[in-house]
Amino acid sequence: MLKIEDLKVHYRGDLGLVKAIEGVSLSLEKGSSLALVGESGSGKTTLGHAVIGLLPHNAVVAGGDILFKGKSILSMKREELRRLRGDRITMIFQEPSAALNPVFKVSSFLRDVLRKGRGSSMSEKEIREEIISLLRKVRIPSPEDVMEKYPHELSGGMKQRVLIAAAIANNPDLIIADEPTSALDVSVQAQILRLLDELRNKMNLSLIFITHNLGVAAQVSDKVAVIYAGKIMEIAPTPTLFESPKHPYTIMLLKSIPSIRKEIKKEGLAAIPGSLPDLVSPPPGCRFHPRCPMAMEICSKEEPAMVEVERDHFVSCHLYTEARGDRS
Amino acid sequence: MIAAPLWSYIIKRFLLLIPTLLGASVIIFFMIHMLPGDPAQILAGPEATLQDIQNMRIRLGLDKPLPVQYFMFMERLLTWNLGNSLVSGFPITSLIVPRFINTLKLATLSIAISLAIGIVLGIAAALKRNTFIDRVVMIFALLGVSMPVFLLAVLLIVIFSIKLQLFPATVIGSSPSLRHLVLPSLTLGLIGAAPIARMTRSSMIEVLSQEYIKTSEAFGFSRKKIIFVHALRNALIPVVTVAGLNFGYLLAGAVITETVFAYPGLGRLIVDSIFARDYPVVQFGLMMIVALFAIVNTAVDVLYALINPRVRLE
Amino acid sequence: MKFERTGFFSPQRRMFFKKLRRNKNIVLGGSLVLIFVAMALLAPIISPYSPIASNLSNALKPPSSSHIFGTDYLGRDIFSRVLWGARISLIIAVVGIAISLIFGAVIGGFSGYLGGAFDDVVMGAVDILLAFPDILLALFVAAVTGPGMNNVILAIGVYNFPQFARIARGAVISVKTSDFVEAARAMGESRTSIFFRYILPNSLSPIVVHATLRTAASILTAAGLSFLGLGIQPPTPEWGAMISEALYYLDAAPYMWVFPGTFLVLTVLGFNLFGDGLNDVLNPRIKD
Repeated sequence: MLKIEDLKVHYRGDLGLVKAIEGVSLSLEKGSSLALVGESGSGKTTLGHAVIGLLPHNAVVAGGDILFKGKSILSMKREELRRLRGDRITMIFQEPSAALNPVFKVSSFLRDVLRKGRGSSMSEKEIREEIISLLRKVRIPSPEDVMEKYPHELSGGMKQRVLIAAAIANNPDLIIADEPTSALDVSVQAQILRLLDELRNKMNLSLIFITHNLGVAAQVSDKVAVIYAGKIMEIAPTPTLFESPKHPYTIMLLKSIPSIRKEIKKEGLAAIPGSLPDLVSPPPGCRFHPRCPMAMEICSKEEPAMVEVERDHFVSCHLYTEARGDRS
Repeated sequence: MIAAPLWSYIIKRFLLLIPTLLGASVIIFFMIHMLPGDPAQILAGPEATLQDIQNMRIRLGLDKPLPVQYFMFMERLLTWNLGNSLVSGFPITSLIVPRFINTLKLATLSIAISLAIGIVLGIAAALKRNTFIDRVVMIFALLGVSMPVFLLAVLLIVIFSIKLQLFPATVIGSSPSLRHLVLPSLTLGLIGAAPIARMTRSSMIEVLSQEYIKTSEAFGFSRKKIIFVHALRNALIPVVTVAGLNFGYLLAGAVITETVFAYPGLGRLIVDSIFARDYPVVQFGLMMIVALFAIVNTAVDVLYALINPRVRLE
Repeated sequence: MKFERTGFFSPQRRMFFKKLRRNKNIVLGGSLVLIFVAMALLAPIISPYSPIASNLSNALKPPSSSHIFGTDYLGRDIFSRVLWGARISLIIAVVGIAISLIFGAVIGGFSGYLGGAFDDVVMGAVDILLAFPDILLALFVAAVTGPGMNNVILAIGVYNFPQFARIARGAVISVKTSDFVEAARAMGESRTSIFFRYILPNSLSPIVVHATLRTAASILTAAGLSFLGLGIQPPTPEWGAMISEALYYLDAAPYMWVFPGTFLVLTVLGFNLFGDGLNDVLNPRIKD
């Protein structure tokens, strides 16, 4: 349903072109869920914004394409894209408190979204009923009261539920959730994740879940793509990725997940040494090699190709290109 | 639709008017009594004997101690029995009320003009930031803040009255028509538009960078809807406060404008009465303007609370 | 706001002057203010004629080489009157603002510093004064005290006082509750020492900005009072009074109001620009 082909997105910056996305390919089927995992600055949010056609003004699509149901989002006219947004593709944001317009009641916001998606054919009464049923769907207690409230009268978790209600209001095909739980309390996080998973199954939605936290990704996704410095390092079905991670970066990310069961070892969390490379002039070869503990000579010279190490499990790393070469 | 805490807030705000207005009445009363010239002498006429003047003092209550006179003044104010003008002898109510209505007309029209011009220019400047349009609007706003009311009045008279002969420069008679209102209200409206344009611009720029505007974009609302509904509702909140303050400037500016255009309003009545030493008219006229300003300010605070759901109603 | 104490030639200070020079508003506004001040100071030297000597046989002459701004209805040289007018406006604005600034800063500052009943009484009085819209308070004071230079200065002082008191109070309160004053108090510094070493210097920048902007407003107000006949009296050359005298000659002798009007607007514009620029430099916020 969604296909991203060799996408390149650059930003015009003061210091030159920032190569935020450099050749990313992905695909997502109807009803499935993909987690985009990476550190901040890895390009995961840029990717999400590119899919919904909301790239900032200084961004340039330098190559590739995004196909939604076979149609190129990148070559759509503004009006066409506008109809798609909030209707077929919707988005959930990181900061629910900042993402809701403070002067509109919950009901006005949802009414606007419904009217935009379904035209003016609905009566006020139908809209009211629809709003209440939406709020029920996102498990908001006493929706009749909540719909008359202003955002500042609601808790962070409630606000995120309202935004989710808006996102599912017009039965979209795809929801992009950009770190939807990182601004919330831990207890609320789990509820929101469960809600998203439940809605996806019930409504047969596709979900792109953007997060820096592999643990969160495990709870909501069928498939995980690990992204680093604008490139995909590894993609695999979620269970596979957790059982047999291949890329050194993935392995290090997995080690850095805090776990309650496992006692934190003396050396503390395995933090990843170094920081994201300068994306104006990224390192040659594999972009991860300056931080990679397993880096070899070839890593700084040649860019590794994407290799399918097992069914549906792709890795971009010289460890595996060579392994394959050895075998054949 | 107004919630209970909002009602108590509204009532509290209006109750707060009482000490302010009482304080203002004390200041006006005691300062008026420092005005040069003896009202009894003025009223008794140039040929009055000392005895006549003394009788007049007793008649006016001027022989009583000042605090007693203050209570007499308040009693007249509260019973709306303001007495007569020292100069014309007419009842002060019949002098003040029609003038007050004329000033109200002028102020209302001016506020409407300043809001219309200021908001439109402010939005245009915000949307076309750092372009030619933005710069022109900002220069207009700066000139508006730096332009004396009487000089703009003179300019408008020269252009529209003397050169183009479109509108009259002065009002003849006591009931101005709409044609007479054009130039005075344009004078005040243009001056008032400047701060409103500045505020609208900066507030709109800030609102447009907010996260909830990105939400609106992500939900595919039209640019028109985003700017004029989702953003403007927020951007106008601080503009309301500026407009309220502006009302004060307009009332004060009306004193000058009314004098230039010979417009029969309260401001001109006060200025004329100052020169004529008609002190009861001055004090009641001032009291009316201060009361109007205080009520409008309170109303603006309440309006602010109504349109800004986040305001804390403590 | 930064709360450090800095030496006079410290790098921070040099940075500050650099920022001042780079700010367009400050450069343009400052130049206009400088021209105004130069006119005011040099008026007695560079005026070609007496500003008050009338010469009826030479009345209402348009600008010429002998009278570059023309002559008014009494035959007085408008150029000389405009120069002297700058002097009058400068004296009124500077002295008036100085009075309100000193009283406002001291009373408002102590009000904020001490708090309690003193604060309540002062702020109550300030609120009542603020109930008089803008020029009306000045007009009222001028009406009570009668026309004349000293009374206009007094009117300007009274009408600016409540705002300075409020700003000084707000600034003092925000500094008083800041961490570094807490720290100084914990270190055992005396109240007086804290007030003069920390609170006063750090409250200055909003007051300086406000004083500049209020100078602009006060020049307008003083001109307005004189225009109404409640301020500076003829024959003293004052810009507002000059424009008032021009009302009967708007069409016949436009030079009677165009020249004082232009200088009035440019001067007020200069102070406004300068104040805006100072505000940008002294109280930096997010750039728009």
